[in-house]
Amino acid sequence: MDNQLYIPFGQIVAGPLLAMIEGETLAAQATTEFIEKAGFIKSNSDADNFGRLRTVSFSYVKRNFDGQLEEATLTVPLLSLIPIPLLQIQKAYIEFGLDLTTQPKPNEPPGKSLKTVASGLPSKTVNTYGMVKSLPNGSTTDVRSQMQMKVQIEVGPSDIPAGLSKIFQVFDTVVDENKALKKPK
Amino acid sequence: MPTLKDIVGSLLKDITAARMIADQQSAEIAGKYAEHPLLCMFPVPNMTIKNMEIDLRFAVEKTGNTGNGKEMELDVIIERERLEKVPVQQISSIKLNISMSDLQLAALSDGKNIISQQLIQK
Repeated sequence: MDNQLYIPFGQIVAGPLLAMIEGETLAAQATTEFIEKAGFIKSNSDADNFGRLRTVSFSYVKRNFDGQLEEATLTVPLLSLIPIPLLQIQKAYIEFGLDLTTQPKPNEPPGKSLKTVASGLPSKTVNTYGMVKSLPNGSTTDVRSQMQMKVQIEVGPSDIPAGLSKIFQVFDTVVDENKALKKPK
Repeated sequence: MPTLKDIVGSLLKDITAARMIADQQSAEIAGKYAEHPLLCMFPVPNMTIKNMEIDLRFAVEKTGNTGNGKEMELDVIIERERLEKVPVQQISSIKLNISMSDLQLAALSDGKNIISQQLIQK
């Protein structure tokens, strides 16, 4: 058995979760760049803020209260006219086969160690290590002879815990207070 | 020789640890989002295991009890190389259908109070 190919089972499960979190983070960063570029006009003096709101003005003729025709102008933020791309993974299905072993592994793979992360969990007498095997396409009849464990995971965004939700409310308060303090000159 | 309960217990603990890794990553990102003027309004990326199904093949090598005669121990073989040498009729399988429960109900009301109190103290 080549122990180098076996990694802790927890890391095999955590891998796809981390990949999706990282993917969503990159998507969010792309969205902020889009908002900054499409929605604001930044000058050299605006290093610390977004700059001036990019607006679009429309001129049109309307009838006023006296029944006279007059030209009017409507100015709206450009961001209110275009869809802002914000992608989120609502659901993901992961399926893989594994060869499982309880043999100790010679080297810890790079990245976060399960031992470190799960230090708060009770110690276990047996550690399980897995080697990912690809599932054969189409038929499922031969799957069992090629691996001894099949794993299917349904992943989705988790609910915000009550405590974290409370912290977000505090953030909102801070934003409002800052606005109140910065009165226009 | 590991017992079946050792294997199942180890798998469940590893799944919990995997969720901890994902939650820690989300918490780190939440800190970075909070400092960013635009990202602070975005939902923090977070992923959790909604459901998980594990289908494990094993063969019982020997049975025994823990000493007090009440608990049955099953020493099992799980390595594929060793399972291939076991007659097919002796191979068993266990299917685990696992779902994550959000254990925050008990802390929900008190947790809010604790956070409020800490904020007031500071």
